[in-house]
Amino acid sequence: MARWLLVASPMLALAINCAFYLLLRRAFAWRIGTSILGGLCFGFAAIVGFVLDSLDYANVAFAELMICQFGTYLTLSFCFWTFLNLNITSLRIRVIRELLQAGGAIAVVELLASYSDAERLQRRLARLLNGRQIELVDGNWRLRSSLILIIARCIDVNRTIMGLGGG
Amino acid sequence: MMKNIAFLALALAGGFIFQVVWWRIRRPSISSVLFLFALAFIGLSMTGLCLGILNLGPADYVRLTLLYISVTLSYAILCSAVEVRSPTLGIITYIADRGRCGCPERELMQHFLAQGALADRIELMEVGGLVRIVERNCALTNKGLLFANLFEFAAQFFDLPKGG
Repeated sequence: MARWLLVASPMLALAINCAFYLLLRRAFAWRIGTSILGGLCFGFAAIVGFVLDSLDYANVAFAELMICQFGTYLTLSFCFWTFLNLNITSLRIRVIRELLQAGGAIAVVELLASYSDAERLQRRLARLLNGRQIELVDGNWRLRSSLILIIARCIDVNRTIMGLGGG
Repeated sequence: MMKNIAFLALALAGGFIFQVVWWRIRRPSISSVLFLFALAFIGLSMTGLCLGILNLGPADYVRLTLLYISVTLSYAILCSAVEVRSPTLGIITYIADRGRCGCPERELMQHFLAQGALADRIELMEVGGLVRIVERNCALTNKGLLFANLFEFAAQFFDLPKGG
């Protein structure tokens, strides 16, 4: 029984992650990013607890157990974060939600007018600015964080490998 | 000691190599990619168990399978980011390519406003079967309706603002 509890522990930790996200966001009205990080930390604490508790009966090497349990928890958390992030950033999700709210169908012209390219760009720049990833200095946009550039370059490399073109 | 993890890495690498080859011949859908990775895992684990390379109890096998599934799901998410380039990352690379001086605000606006991203996305959504365009009207398909309801529910449940 305890061994199977260990198997299920990444999913239990993810449930704790979701529960704490909801608690922080809804009960304490924390910002989305902070609530996600808070949930992640509580889930992480739970998985650490599960792993330490299992050391007596787990019949696998400690390093393997760590990689398995933390790896599963972190990748599941990444999926959860992406799911939340899609609602906030994805153009496609915005469009299907607009369509749902309009009763399932809408004229293409009306749909395009409902979210102009200028508004879309301003929204993205504001998000990057709030996330301290870019800054506006003397009328020039500059990069502030190199991490997001590394992610963008990695995706471009992958696109090249897949034959989709780099940029 | 880390034989099981090495096996898992091998299955992932196998799935990735097959996918790259397949992608270059005919671009697979994300569901096909997941199927491909599932096949790589089942094939390799069956071989490993038959040849006695893998010696696992049922709980350990389930544990490894869960890790493999979660890594594959994360990879599928990254695949969709690779398939359709994010406009946000496009902005980042455009600014970075302008060097230390940065990119003038007007130039950035002119470059990205000329792209018509929303029209492109609607086209991609039609190809992906989320919407259909009939007589200049855009309508949700059954698949689109399912996703729309799911994300609408999630937005309310997780208290998320309308994005895009």
